[in-house]
Amino acid sequence: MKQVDILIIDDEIKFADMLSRRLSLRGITSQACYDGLSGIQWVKENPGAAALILLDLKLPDMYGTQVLAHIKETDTVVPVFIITGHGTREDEKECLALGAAEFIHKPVSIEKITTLLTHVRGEVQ
Amino acid sequence: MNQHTIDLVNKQGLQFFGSVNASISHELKNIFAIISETAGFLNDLTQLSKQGKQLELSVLENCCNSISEEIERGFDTIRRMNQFAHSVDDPVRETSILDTLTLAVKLTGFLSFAKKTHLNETSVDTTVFTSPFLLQALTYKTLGALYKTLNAGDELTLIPTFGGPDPSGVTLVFSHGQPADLTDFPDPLTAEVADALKAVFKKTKTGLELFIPRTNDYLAAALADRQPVQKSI
Repeated sequence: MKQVDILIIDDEIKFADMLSRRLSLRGITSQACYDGLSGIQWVKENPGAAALILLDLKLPDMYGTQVLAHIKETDTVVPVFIITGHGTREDEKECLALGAAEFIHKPVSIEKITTLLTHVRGEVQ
Repeated sequence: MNQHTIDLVNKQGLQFFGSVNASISHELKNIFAIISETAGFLNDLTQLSKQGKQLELSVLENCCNSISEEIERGFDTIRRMNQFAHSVDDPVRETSILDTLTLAVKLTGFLSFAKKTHLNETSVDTTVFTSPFLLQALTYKTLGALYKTLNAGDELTLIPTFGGPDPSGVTLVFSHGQPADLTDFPDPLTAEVADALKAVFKKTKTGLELFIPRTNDYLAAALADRQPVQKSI
């Protein structure tokens, strides 16, 4: 099982990779998945292995809410933060109802993400 | 009846403009997010360099290229936005079929699902006398509805046929090569737009055909009294 601090599920490959590199410079480990299915698969193969998940809403193969529902079936504990350039109030309501921790609009600062991780780690400890 | 058509343009206008503008703004947000992360990464590297870590030029070069690519993607998006905005300049006019379809394909691409349309552009372009805005709305809504019936990775083919059996119009063939469930299509609003354009849908085993008449006296009469909006740049 592969332990990471953050699982990034986002089809904007450049965004996911650049975020991953910036996190790495801060000593934060991450794994990027570029579609919903591979994100779900990663969570199934590595249950409880990510401290938090950043999930885009519109993915190439399925809607983010579907991915969120699948993840929550596998891992009820992991906080899932929706980070999206898309998204309406209805999307936000639906995601929160499905168990998302927060709904965040892109662009998002690296400081915000590191704060989320610190917060999550603080809650776990 | 004429007033009904004008009301339809106004009603559909608000809804369609809202929908397209939302998808464009989402696309721009994604572009800005990449530029923002790349600029942030360059700043990270600068701080590390100040601490004595040597910078790799290839990394800097890749970052610059990435920013340039995203800026070009942004310009392309804004060009489409501008093209779309001009579709309301004239209530009715001779309207290029290929320009309309190309823009509809691009705009629906911003919906960002892995469902793409291949536009067969081998045909020579032609024009129809119609409302460019409503025609844009109709093709956009049709593509959007068909996308909902596709699986991820499926590709739709859009073939405009100008020299078909009926010379009084243009037939657009939307196909994805497998049976499509279009039970709920067209929805009432889309049907209303098609009616105003005197366009006719025909469901096929693998998609749809949409017939657009070359001239539309009904629409011309309904909208002729409207003043063209002041054209933007």
